[in-house]
Amino acid sequence: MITMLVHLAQADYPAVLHTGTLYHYLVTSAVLFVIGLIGFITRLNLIVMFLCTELMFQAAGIALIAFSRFHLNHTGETFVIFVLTIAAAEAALALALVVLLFRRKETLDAGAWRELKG
Amino acid sequence: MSDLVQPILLYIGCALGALGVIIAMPRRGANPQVIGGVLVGAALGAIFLAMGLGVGGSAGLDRLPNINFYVFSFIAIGAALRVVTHPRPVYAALYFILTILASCGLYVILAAEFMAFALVIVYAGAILITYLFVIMLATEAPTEEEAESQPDYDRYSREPIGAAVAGFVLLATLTTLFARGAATLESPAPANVAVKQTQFRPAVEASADDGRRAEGPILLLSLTSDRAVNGRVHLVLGGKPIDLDEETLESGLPVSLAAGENSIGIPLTGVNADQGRGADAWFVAEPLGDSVLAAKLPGRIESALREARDPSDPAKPLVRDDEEVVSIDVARREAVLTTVLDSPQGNNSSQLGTNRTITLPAEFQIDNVEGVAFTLLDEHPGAIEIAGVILLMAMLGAVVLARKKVEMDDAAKLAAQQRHLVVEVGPIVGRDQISGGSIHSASGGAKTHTQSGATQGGLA
Repeated sequence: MITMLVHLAQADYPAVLHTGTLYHYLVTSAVLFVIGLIGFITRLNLIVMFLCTELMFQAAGIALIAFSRFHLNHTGETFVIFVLTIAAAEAALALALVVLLFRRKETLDAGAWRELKG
Repeated sequence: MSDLVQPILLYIGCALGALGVIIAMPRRGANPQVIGGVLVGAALGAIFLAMGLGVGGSAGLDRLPNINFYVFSFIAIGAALRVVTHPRPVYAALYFILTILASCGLYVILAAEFMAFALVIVYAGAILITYLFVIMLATEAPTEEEAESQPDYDRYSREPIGAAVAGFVLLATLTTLFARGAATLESPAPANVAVKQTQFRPAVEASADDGRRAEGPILLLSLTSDRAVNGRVHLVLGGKPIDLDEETLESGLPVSLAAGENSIGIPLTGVNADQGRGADAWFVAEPLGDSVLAAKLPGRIESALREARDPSDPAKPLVRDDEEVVSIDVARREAVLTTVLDSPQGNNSSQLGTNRTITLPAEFQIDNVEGVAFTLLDEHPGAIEIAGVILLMAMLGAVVLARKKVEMDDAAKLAAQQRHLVVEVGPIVGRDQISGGSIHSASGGAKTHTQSGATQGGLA
């Protein structure tokens, strides 16, 4: 038990910082993604729905960084840059749309736009 | 035993998590969010415990991440849960910043420092501020009598049970698939020295009948590498790391691996066969492309040489003040130095022009920012162009959308009137005429609002 605590607390710090395995990061990323997905489905507020998509982007970013770390190259990290770019573009466009929709109906309820068919 | 316990724990964790998310979702009536949060926390604990059982195995604790990983994961996931469940969008955005910061911690553990700081600046600094502005712009000001109440769409959630069940079934599937391969994942490599591990398969066999180095069993490492690579072998026996040197390791240090199957024998002195079976070894590769990349940065190498200390005497610098770097051979990790004429010690003319060859310091390598930059510019230049074009188009689109004149719907106008907000009908009609027929509701809005109230009454 003591050795486990010492190990977890990194008492031998300069020697080895245990990264864990890819498994841990993929599971963390999957949990974040699923929470974002649930939020996107359940929440009715347009802004919170877009925040939930950002959560899913974030989960993808963690998975990409973990792959990059465990595959010995920087490609995953560079792809996080592109995820970041897409997130910024999406935030700019989607939020402009949200403001537009809000001025039209004075509500952020996604259900207020039911009549949009097609 | 753990074969049975691990998947059961995983499924229990997923079920608990789904239950917790359902309980924590905003809904009518009592809303015990604390209970939901505790349940999700317990679920995460169960999942991480199952992961520890799956990964740990015989190699034990060395494959588990250190406590920072758990702390950051819990903060990130807890804050994400608050983003999803908090009834006020401003708080949801602030909790999202917390998720970003915690995942930056994970990035730092994964030796991706540049992306961690870029994420804080871009996400927490720029994107989330945009969100906060929009939340402020697009939230109805509460009237005085209902100052505490939230709009309906923030207080209720749509299909929380179905969504949570679907989401956590997806999570259970994913984690089970990950768990199948977890036992074959590589052992950890030290991240804080920025070296990385390679494809690795340890096959530990202890044999006492090797005649040449007779004293103990021999640890046979079988390493599968997809390319030629240099690196070091680390060995842990009974929880204690063991120093390997050229004497114990037949091929010397650092070990050069060819592409394909390699095997390395390490004699374990003073250890019997049973103890030898408990030994854990891993291979840490030096990043292969580094010497090629470093050759593109001669100035960087020279400044690193100037800062380096002599390995035999840490008090002395590796390059003396009166020396200049003549040439650098990165592939062989050597540099040629020469003494300069007009240095304080250069009065002795016999030392003029003396060349000296030194090896580059072992810790010298491409750092994270340089690695990301090289990958970005060398391998993905087209993607940068596309990303720039996307950003530009998004900016233009946002400007066009923001300049568009929009009229309120009839129903929204009526609702606003009912909330005792001041709706000045006259100017709105005027703006309708200016904006022409570009908006389909404009013609309806231009009619008298008594008529619109009548149609609204008919709809209701």
